Amino acid sequence: MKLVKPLSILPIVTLTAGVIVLAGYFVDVPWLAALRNLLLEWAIVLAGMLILSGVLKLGLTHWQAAKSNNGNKLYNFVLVAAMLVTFILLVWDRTSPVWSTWLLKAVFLPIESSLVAMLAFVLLAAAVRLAFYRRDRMAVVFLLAAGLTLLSSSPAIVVQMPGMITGALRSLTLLAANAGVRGLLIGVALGAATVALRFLLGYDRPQDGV
Amino acid sequence: MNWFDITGIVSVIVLAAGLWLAGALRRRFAYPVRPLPAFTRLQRAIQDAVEGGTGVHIALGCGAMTQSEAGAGLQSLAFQRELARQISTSDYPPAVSVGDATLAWMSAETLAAASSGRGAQSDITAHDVCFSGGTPLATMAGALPRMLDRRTSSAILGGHWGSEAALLYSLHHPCEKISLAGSDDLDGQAALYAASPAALLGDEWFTSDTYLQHPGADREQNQPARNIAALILIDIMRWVFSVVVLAGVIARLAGLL
Repeated sequence: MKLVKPLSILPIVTLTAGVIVLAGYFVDVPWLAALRNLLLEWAIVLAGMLILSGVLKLGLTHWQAAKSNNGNKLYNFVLVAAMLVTFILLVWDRTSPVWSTWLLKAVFLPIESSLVAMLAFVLLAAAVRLAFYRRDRMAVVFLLAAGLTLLSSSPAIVVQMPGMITGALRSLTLLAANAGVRGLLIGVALGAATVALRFLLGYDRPQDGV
Repeated sequence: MNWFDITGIVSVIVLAAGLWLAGALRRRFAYPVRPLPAFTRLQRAIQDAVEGGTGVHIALGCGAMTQSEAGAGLQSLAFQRELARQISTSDYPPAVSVGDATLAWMSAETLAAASSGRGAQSDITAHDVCFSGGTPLATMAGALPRMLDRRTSSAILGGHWGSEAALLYSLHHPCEKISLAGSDDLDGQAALYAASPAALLGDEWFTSDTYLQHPGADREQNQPARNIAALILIDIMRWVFSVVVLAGVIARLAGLL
């Protein structure tokens, strides 16, 4: 008996599922919407299981690194311990989230906030460095636009300027920024749509080596 | 069905037909591709990695495959396939850190398929692809150890990165190693443009696998049509959109709209 190659079925399954989900967005038919929702629910459950397996693999990798003899093991131990404590607290606390909320507010949010605060300085330093390594017209335009935007949104400066100048500054930056954003967005939208079609139509199947 | 739905369906059909047509035309005519400095830089980094016996690390952002950022994630798979083919003679396979678990598994499949298809010198193991965190900042922090590794000579940022990607440039060594940085996020693109000479803008990340094949060179006709077709389509559609937008502005100024 001749068996059908699994690889030849995969593009058909992908195309069928993709067309059903896509059509469900545009065509308002109850059975199509139900089918689309069912497929999306399967995908979400699968994605959830993959997150769980990804976290387990992360923990196992760090546990193995912590047991090995090379490198600094402290970070590996801290990560594995933090994962275990968080997991236990979330399971323990699932009905009334007191400890897990404390963990979020006392540990997670301060760490993320401090990184975000650092980001402001990093971006400022990056803008200064830009003037050194990218000496072209676009770099000048970029720096000028960033400077004007900061100037027009700073209340301390805006108050001391005549209304006409601040209005002109604001409309100039808004106009230029909007035009730039829309230009980039058109590119991103076209790129994303083309990539989606390449995968949907089976032009590209990198996970199968095609 | 309203006008919005009809426009959506027509757009999908037009793009699909355009992709097919561009692929068919590509078989008859050569299509010159504009040179991008970032890819010339990346090619040099790849050569250095292959000759020096060092590794290349790809750090993918945390764009979820069930959200609108999935396009950038899917493109990163095509990019990985091309990169794995180019460095198949290296001692080390490319290492990948990903901020989304679904994409991490798909990346592992892609690298394994690319490596087995080309008879690569080194096998892909589960340790070559890792899930590095579920939030943008955790993904950034998770990518750092691999980038700081002495065996990694070059790093690539791709997929969905926000402005947090700029934090990777605050450290000297990762900053020097990053040879290509692309994102679908506008904040991310702005931050990368300010921080890196290797930043990609607009749709450039979505055609990165094509640019990686031969950066800045005329395409030979025996290249796979599927890659270049997407680039041709995007180039044509960009002009079409520009003309439509300008026509709309002129019509509005003339009082027709």
